[in-house]
Amino acid sequence: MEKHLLAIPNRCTGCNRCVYACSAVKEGMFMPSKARIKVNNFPLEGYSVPSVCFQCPKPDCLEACPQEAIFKNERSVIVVDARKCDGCGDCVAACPYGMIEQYSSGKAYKCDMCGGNPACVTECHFGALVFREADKIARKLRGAQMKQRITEGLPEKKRHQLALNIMKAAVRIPRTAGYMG
Amino acid sequence: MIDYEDDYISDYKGRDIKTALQEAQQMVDTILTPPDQTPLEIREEIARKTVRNFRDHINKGFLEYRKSVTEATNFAMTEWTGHGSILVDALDREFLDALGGYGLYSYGICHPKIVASVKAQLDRSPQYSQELLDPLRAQLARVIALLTPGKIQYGFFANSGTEAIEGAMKLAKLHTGRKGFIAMLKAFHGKTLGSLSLMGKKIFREPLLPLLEGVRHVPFGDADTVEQALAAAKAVGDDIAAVVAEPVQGEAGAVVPPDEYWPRLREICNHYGVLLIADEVQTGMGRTGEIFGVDHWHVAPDIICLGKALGGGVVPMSAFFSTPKIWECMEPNPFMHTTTTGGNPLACAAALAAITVLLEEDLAGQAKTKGEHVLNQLKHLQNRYPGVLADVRGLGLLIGMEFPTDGIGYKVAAGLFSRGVLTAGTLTNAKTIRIEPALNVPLEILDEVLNRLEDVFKTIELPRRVERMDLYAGQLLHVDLTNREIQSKSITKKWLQDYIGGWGLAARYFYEIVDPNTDPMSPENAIVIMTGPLCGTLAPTASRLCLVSKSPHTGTIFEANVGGAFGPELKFAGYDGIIITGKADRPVYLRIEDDKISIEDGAPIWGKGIFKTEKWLVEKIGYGVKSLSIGPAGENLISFACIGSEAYRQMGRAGAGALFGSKNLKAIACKGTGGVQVADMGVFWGKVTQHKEANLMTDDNLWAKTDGTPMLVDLTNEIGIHPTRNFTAGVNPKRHGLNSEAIKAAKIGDRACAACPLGCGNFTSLNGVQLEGPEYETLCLGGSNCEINDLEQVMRFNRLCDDLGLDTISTGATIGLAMELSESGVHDLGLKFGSAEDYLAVVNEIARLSSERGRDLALGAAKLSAKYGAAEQVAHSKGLELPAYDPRGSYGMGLAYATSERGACHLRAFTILAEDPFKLEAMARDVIDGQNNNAIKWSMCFCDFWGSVNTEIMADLLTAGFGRQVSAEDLNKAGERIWNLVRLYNLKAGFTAADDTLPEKLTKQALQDGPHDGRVLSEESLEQMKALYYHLRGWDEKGRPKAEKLQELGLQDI
Repeated sequence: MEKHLLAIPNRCTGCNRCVYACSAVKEGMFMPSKARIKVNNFPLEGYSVPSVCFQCPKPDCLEACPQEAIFKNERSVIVVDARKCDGCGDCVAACPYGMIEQYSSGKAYKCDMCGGNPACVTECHFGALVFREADKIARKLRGAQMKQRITEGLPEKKRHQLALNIMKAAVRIPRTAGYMG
Repeated sequence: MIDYEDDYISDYKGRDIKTALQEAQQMVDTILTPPDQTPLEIREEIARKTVRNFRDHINKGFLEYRKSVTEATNFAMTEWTGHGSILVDALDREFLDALGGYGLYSYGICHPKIVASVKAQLDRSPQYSQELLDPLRAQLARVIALLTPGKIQYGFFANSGTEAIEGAMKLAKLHTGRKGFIAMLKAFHGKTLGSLSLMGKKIFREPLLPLLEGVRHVPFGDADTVEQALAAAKAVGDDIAAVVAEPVQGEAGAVVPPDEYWPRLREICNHYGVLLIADEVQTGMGRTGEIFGVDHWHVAPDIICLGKALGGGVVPMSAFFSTPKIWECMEPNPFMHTTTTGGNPLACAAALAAITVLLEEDLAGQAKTKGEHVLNQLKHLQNRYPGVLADVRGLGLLIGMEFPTDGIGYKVAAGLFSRGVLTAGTLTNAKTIRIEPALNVPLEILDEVLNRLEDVFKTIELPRRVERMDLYAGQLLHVDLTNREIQSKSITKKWLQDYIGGWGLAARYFYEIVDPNTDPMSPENAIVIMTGPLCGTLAPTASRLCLVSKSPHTGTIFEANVGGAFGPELKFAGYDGIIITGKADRPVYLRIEDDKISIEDGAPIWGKGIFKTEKWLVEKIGYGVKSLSIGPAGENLISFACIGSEAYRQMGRAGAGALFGSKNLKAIACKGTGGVQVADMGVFWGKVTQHKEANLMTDDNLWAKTDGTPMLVDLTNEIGIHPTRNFTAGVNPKRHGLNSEAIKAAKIGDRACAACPLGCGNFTSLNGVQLEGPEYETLCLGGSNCEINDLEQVMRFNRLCDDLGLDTISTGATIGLAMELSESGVHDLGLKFGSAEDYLAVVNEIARLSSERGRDLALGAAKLSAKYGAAEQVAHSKGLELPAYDPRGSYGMGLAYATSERGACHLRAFTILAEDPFKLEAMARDVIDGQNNNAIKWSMCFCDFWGSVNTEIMADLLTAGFGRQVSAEDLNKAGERIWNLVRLYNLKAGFTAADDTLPEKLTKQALQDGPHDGRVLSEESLEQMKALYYHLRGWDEKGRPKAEKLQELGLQDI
């Protein structure tokens, strides 16, 4: 069974280690603006929602690409072939989660699961990011996060709006071990 | 591109013999026609066909990679003719050749003497029979034997550089009978399977693993690592045949090793009985300013590999040569290694002629002088365009330019190309571009190349970060609010080593710009905000942000710091810090978005609480903006107003918020899209992980993750130093409402500052009140000390303070005092211990100055007690209210409070866990150690809660980040230097030893209850500790640093 990268917002502290790690792997420097994972922080409400690429079964980005530069690899991860990408940005508009973006050169970039060993998960000390085969609870959580789709606006705005919705729907009670919300 | 698909007349199986012949014939005809007599339309046709043929028959990828070649104009640049250092394409467009075919064209294109020799040999005999002895090959071998250093005498000729390497590897294995090789990281020796094994780049190797076994890689330029690898290989019986290296790494970007490198390699190889192979394919034949690269260091390798320029830039040619002794292994069976075409007569004719040119024209000498000229010119360019050209290096005419990013490198390469200059971007990225023209390139052409290079630099939009620095952003924002001037200036580099960042660096700047007699609330006072070098990286708990200024509450210099994510954001925007001077004529906020910085109208948010201000800024500027802002308390210049960030984090103590207010500065909002770089990400990340696992995430610190500061409630009660009822008692019998268990019961989430894996923040929710906190100090000063033991009320108090922008310690302590003043009958302020209603109401009254008692309490505890003549009731030092550790049960804390630069503060030295808290000498020592250590810790911008972090770890992280050694001793010294620097400032501001004091409440009134019931910290004890402290610090009896101490710390001239 394939593994999913799953975000559990109720556990997220908003520390952004995942974001720093991602940019360090992908850009060679600590540069959150170019990270493939994002954390939406709501400090006043004390809540944070990681935005991850779901590697959708039916990826909107892939379908939108006129150059066929986006494909599903053997691990079912959706990846961009930068050589084919001509920078049109159709994928960015198409992704309802705001999880594919462009460099200033126009080339698109997105999460590629670090080839099966995501650096973000390794750096998360609160279990807010997990990478594993989806069990029932995980599938439910993932399904709930994927169900919402924002079709308008820039990626940052889409992520923010989705995160806001997730926060509003979250059930937050004093913790018990293993509680995922 | 025109579609040529229709041109194919396909017969079955895609074969078309007729067209094959026809097209071949066409091209032969074209070749036979002198280039200048080929009509333009035929040449255009060829240009088009070449693109098509590349696409269909060579590799589409090339067209993408060489986009600038194919797409700059309608017609792709198609090679046609060339001479010397000028290349002409099929459409008569000229190019200056600064690439030299990656070192192939050392003699220029079509050197007449070499071409003549080859043409003549072509007419005589182009290849050899394979059976008779061929004279040219033998003579060439002798000539090369005469040229090469040391005992090198025998050789083998092949066609390409990689073949020479393959041969050398076989020879080394045959001779030594071992299988292993040591190669260098980033090395390039060719791409056939054997050579590829030596390649130092993942991108080419990884997809083809496994390659030859027994090859290991070490960093280039560090001979020790070679020795370690050899020793290790020997120890495990996995022996090495040879060490292989390029004298100067070419493909890696013209990397020149240190001078001792090659001599050391020779020595080490001799010691271990291992062969030394010099890959001179690119560096040989004069390229680096000597005939061979190794000549620079007078090293004779065991095997030398030649290629590229060996064939004179006319015929492919390569060779590997070695000594008679090593060659013996090839003699029993001379067919061990053969080739049909290697060393053919054409190639030998070319090589022999090329060697005469090399020596007659003194190409090595030319390379040396021209190389120096180019390097000098490039260094000038680097000075003029520091943001474009990050580094320049090389030897002879093998020169590398390094750019800050691939993007800039690509723009330079493309810009040069469109200006008719060919250069070599490396295959994998454009971050480094090589210049390696013909060695006999005329100076005018070199200068023209440099001219056009500068021309390209001018067009490149200067990146914001004008200087490439590791860890630091390199720039400081200077904001003059009076004149509304904003400038970004380079950080003062000479201070970085001595003051590091954060507190130290901010204090150093502050010392420079603000006269010690300045009124804190005047426009002349400056606010210096500073991040640390590790801020914005994965280094845990090291992203705090420091502020240094002169305090309106204490009159001293002071430091306050805050966690959260503003510091990293500022760094990502490109600034290490901000220096704010002057005063705006009306409310403003400062808006920073990378290099767009503006002073904006603050009227819409003036009067708003911090929570609403932050929301407003997010709506105005955009999601993800981080801010520092003040609430009504700061606007109303309450001298213990704080600056808030991310709702519940504060630069709390000593009135930073009032300073913002005094400058009419409501907030600073920042959004950054840049990054923080380190010398080597792998090394840095490795170190971060190592120290995180081995030191941070251990029992010493994990209390922060599991409990956070509320765990101190029970601990301080146990010790008996938990301020209760305005510093009357040392234990609070009703603490169970406020301790860690109570917090946990209300906790609904963990919160963390940027990059912190501890996440000490407890987000709590109780009866509709939600906030991050309360932290220990608030639980005590706003709880026990006011006898408010109901967590919900303390949470309300905490939220109010956070929103209004009041420091909870000073506010809680002042309210506690007011309760005692009221209850003792000194002056009725309508506040009673344990009475929550007025306790909450008065917070608003203080921040808004909305009532008589509000205005009274807004004075702060020291002035309030003075106003009503009750000095015996107040606990403060230098005007700053005491935090939540009673010094009567921990004498070290008393000394720490008395000697802190900003008054009573627990973040300078922290001795509550001392074995014997009343041993005066030990306490004096502990306090000094703590202060020095914290001075460096706050300068590195670490959080208090990595309690076990030490200067060894800090130095290790900096070393990894900078890529150069930083020592723990230097950091220790810096800590002491910083402490002395702020002391000097306070002395100049008029503070004396008499101000290093504690109030009567602590020195005369006995602490009640708990283990220290009845104890005071007498003036005598304090004075005794102070005397010891001054002495140990190298200060005189009046608390002034002695000249020797200043000398020792490099502060004598300050």
